[in-house]
Amino acid sequence: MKLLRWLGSAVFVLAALAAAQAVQTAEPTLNDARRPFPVVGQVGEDVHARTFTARVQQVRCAAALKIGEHVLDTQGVWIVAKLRVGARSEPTSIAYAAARDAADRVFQTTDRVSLDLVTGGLTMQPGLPYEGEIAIEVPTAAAGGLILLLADNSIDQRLDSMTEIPLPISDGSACSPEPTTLLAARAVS
Amino acid sequence: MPQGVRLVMLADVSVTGRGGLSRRLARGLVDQATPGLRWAVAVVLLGVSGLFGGLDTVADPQAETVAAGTLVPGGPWEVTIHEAGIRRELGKLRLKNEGDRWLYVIATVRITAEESTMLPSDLLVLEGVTGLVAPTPEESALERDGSRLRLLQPDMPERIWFVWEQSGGAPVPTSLTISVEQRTWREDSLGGEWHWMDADAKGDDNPAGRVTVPVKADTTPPSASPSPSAEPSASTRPRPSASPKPSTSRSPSARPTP
Repeated sequence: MKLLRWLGSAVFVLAALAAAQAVQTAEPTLNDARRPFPVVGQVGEDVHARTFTARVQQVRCAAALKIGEHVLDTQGVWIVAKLRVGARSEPTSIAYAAARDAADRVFQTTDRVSLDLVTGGLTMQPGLPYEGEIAIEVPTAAAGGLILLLADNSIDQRLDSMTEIPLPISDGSACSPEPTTLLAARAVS
Repeated sequence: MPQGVRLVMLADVSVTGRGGLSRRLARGLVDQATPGLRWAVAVVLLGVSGLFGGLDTVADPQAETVAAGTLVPGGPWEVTIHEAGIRRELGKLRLKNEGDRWLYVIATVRITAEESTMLPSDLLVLEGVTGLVAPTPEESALERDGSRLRLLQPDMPERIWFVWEQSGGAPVPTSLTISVEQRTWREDSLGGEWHWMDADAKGDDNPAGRVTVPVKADTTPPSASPSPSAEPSASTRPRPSASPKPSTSRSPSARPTP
C-alpha cells in the first residue's frame, strides 16, 4: 500500500513537472510580447503610424539600380517603392524600412545606396510631406508576397507602431532586366 | 532487513520530525525499495532528465580545423573561406605605415538568420599572425562592387574581402589559421528576450571552426596592381578576380529622375 502511495506521489510530481514544461513552452516569448504593433494598410492609401504617415504610391522591381553613372547589380532583385511620408504631430524620421517575405525573413533597405528618405537621417516636419523612393535587395524567389515595414527607430522597434503594407509583386522572375533609377527624397508642396 | 523493520523505520521517520529528517527519510525510502524498483526509479529519473535537456547532444567544444573551401556554420551565418594573400597595394586603401603590407582573406558569407545582419568585426580572427596593426580587419568590402560591408541580407551570400594591415617587419606567413566566430540563439539573461549572442556572458566562446589556408604572395609590382574605384562598378557581371574597392566616401545618393 505504501509502495503504491509512493509511486502515486512520484507520478503526480512528474505530471506536474510535465505540465509546467508544457505551459512554459506554449506561452509566448518576450520577443513576441514586445513585438511592434502592426498598422496594416494597402498601396495607395495613407497608413498612420504613431509618429508618421506613409503611403506607398508605386512599386516595381528590377535586376539592377542605376545611380548616376553607377549600376548596382544583385544576385536577387531590387524592390523599389515610391513613398509619400510625413510627420504627424512632431518632427520625426523613418529610420527603419524593410520587407518581410512569406517565410518571415526580413530584408532591410540597402546600404549600398544612400537613401535619405528612410535611413539617411531626414527629419520631417509636421505638415511638410516628402516623396521619394527606397530600394530593398531580396532573393528572386522571395519577391512575391512581400510586406513593407516602416518604423521610426532604426535600432529598436519594440512596443511601437510599425506599418505593414503588402507590396503588389507576384513574381520576382518577371522583374525588369533593365536598371532602374531612384527618385531622391524631396519635399512636396 | 525484515519488511516489518523497514516499515517501522519509515513510520518513525514520519512521526518524529526530529533532526536529520531528510536523511532518515531518504534512507527509509532506499531501504524500502527493492532492487527492481531502484532500477525503475533510475530509469524514470533519467527520462525526466531527458525531458529537460539532460540527454541533449553537446557540441564538441574543440573547434574543428578544416581546409579552405569548407563551409563553417556559425549560427546566424555560414562562412566559406576561399583564399588568403598578401599585397603591397590594394585599390585606394592607404597603409597607415609605409613599408607595411596588406593581408587579405576572401570568404563567402551567407546569412542564415531571419533578418538582415551586420557582421561583427571579429568574425574572422587570424591566429598566430604577428605584426597586425589591429586584430580586426581594417576594411571589409563586397567583391561585387567594392562597397564597404555593412548589412548582409538573409540567404543572399556575398564574397567579401577582409583586409588587415601587417607590419613590414613582421614575418610573412606562408599559411593562415583563421578562426570563424559564432553566435548562439539564446535568452538574454538581462532582458529575457532571445537574440543571437555569445554563448555566455563572458564572450569567450570557442570559434565555430578553424580554417587553414595557404597565403598567396603578390609577385606583381605595385604599379601593376588593380586600381579599383571607390564607387560601384558599372558592370553587371560578377567579377570574381576583381580586387576589393572599399569606398572611402559615402555611398552614392539616389538622384532625382528626370
